[in-house]
Amino acid sequence: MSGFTFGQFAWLLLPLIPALIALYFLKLKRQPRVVSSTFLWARTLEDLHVNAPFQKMRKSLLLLLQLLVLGFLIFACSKPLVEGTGQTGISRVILIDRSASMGVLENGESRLSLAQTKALDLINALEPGDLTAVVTFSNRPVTMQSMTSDRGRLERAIRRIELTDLPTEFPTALQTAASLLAAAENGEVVVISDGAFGDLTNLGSELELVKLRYIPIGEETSNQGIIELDAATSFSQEKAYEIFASVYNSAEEKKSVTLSLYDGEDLVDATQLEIEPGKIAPHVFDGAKFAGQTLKLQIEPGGALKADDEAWIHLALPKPLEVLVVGAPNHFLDLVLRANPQLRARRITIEAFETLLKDDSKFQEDPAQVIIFDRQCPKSPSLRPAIYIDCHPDYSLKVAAESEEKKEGADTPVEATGPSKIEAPSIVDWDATHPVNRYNNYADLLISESRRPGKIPGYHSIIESAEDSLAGVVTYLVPGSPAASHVILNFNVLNTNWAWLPSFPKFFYSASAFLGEAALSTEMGRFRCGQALTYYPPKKAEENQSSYTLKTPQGSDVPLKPEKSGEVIFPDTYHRGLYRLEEDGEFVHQFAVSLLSRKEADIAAAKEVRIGVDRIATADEIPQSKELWPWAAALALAFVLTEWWVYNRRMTL
Amino acid sequence: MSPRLESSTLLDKEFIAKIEQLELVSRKIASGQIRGERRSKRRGQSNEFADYRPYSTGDDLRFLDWNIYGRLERLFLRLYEEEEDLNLNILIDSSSSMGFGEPNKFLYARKIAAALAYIGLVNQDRVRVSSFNEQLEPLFGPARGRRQLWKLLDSLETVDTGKETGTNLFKGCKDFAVTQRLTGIVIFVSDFFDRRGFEEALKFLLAGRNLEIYVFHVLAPEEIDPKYVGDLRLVDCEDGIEADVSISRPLLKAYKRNLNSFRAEIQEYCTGRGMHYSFTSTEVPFDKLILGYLRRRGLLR
Repeated sequence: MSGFTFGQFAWLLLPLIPALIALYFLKLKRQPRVVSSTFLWARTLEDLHVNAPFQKMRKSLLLLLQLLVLGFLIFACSKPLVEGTGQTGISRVILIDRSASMGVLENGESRLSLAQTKALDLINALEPGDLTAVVTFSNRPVTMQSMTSDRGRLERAIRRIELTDLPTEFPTALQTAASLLAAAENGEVVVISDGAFGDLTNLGSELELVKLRYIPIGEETSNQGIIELDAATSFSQEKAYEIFASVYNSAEEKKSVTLSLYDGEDLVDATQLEIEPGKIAPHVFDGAKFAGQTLKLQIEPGGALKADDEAWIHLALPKPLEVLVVGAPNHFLDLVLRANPQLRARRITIEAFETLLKDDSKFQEDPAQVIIFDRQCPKSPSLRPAIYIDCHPDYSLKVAAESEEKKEGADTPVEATGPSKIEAPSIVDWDATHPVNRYNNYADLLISESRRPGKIPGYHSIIESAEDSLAGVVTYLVPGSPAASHVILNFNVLNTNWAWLPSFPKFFYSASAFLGEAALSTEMGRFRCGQALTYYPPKKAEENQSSYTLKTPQGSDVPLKPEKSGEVIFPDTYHRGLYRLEEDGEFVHQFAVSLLSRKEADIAAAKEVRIGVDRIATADEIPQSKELWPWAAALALAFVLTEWWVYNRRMTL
Repeated sequence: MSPRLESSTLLDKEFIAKIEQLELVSRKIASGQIRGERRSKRRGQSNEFADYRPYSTGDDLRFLDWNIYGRLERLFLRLYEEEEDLNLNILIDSSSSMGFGEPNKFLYARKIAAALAYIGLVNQDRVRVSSFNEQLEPLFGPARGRRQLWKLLDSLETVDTGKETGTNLFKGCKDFAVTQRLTGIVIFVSDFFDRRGFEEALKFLLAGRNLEIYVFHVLAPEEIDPKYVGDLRLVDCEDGIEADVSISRPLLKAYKRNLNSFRAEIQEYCTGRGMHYSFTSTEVPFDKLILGYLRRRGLLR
């Protein structure tokens, strides 16, 4: 069906017509000039009139032309459209990507702007009875406009979409779109994006049924971006950090980039990296004394995407983490814990701990942030973050899976077959991506004996032997309490050579950092866009009357209130940069927020979306409406020119 | 030289010296009222031999050529040219429209009149100068002889175009036809800006008499190639009729086309009836017109 539509308020221009006619009667004021005779002029005018076309219309030709011009202008202002063919009564959700990679400039125009144009084309092609919703997504979806047929609202919703520095999280956006289409019979989702959808092969079946069209945006492919930036305390130098950085090259050719580390405006260190196409080049800035400052890492040239050309890290002076060690003395562990000034450890016996546990109020007052159960543990799982060495509680009571890290199948421990102990397990693999294992190498670790972890729901193995898991992570969730992560070591550290290996202290520091988050970890100094910024005021929550203000990199001030639990949270880190937190007008903390996403750094637009086994082609067949206003405006211009010509030829007696 | 001639805007002594030797040429040999210096159709008693004819009874025996009788023994009469004076009538348009132009059309017309009248006076022709606007006004003459030059210049210097006096070619020519019954040369100088047309008017000049008519169509440069710009209300200085024009190239082109056809109409009318038509712009130097153009056209020699 083809249609023809007018803009909403075009009729408001109609009163211009009588106004023009009124103006027409205000005749041109001519300058009088006495001449010898008008005899010849009169003859000339008569001749011209006789020879002029449209004799009957002659007197009103100018008026007619002006009316035509005005008519065409009104027509153009009404944005008339000739619409393409399509089904009527379609419910459509337009999913518009606003992740960082949409900031790539394509011939001077951002991908988001191109996407908005495409979306507006879709809105222009709406047929009566069609319903459309606009959802934008990055790391989470935002419904800009729920289902409506009102073009004005849809257009405004599309124009309101702003670019963010956030990574892409497509499945949740698709879920939102699917929920908007839940009641619709003839529904479809139009995705306008540059890709980076991730793995969509295991979406729920209800999402696989959603009719999906995909409009890819973007041609540019060459980009180099910082995809990782982290710091760890240097083992070689006291109070110094090692800065780890990774740079990704998405271009199709080898690239050379300069990686520079700045402290404010001062260049601290720089290096040249050669990166193969599609590869990551890591680099470590070692040994610099960077404590208590914000560093900026920058690459040059950075390629098409600017958002990943710089990253920041804030190296806070570490605060000691309160660690409670439960169990019989362990010289090596105690030595390691004592050696780290960022940890304040004390040891009590299991009996003392159980006594403490019984007195609930006393336990609540205990400052311990992380509890290490050294070869002895109570039966019930700890509500606080904990490391279990060669023991673990009974999780069959209440356990929640560590949803994000969990992978179906492979990581779910099977019921142990054979003996519950493994003699001299050989380490075959470890999850290097897990924060606990970061920068660790367990190849030299020799273990005389390990336990099988047994069936622990939600258990995620982080160190594997050929036979079973040697270490794993569990997230323990109890309603009414915050989630607590537990690291479980399935072997006795005293029966290993671990105490002589660098990975031993690093493991415990990393594990403490992972569990204690707030204190030891430099993770606090480096946020990814989309991550909530959390500040833990030193005051108790109930005594905290301070007002907090967060200054964003865009220069706006966001007033924040402490949560009931005491912390101050800012979740909307849409843009990279430095966020400064002020308490009653006094600076208290700086947060460094960077993109740090390989998916976003890989800016080549996906040519198709694959959900399950269905291959979704790009949607070239989406009807595109043809706008008529440029033609109407051109005709108006042509008539103005004609009028000018006629006017210049026209003479009256 | 007379101070009057020196102060004259119409003729100067150098120009007079140049035209002194000129005389008006009338192709039509017409009869005058008195004996003059012009050849007449009639055979008369001048010293100029014209022809022989056989003697017939009653002829004046004084004109018999006895030499021929001696050779041929037949009687032949010697015929001599009769010399008569020439009537030169100069009609100049003195309507308001003639007062326009740079150089001024009326001044130009008066200069033509002065020069031709002077040539006539010098050659003992009967010269009469009249102006016409809505009616005929005699200005000078009839008179003959060089001595009348001062009177001629006086009358031409003092005449002016009236304010808002219209052109009535018809009335002017009719008055002339009624009052002047003699043959001779008529010099007619006008811009022909008359909405009633020129055909009926010129008919009166032709009616019945064997006049040799020279029509001078005089226009100012701005009438030939107008330099107006913008949106104008042109007001006719004679009748106040207005024309609203927006000057543009096509309009100017049309105007010139129209002017050319107007000229062509007059020329066609005149040449078809044995009148001599001359178009001139006041931009053309006056002495060139008299000494060059009119001599080439045969009015002067």
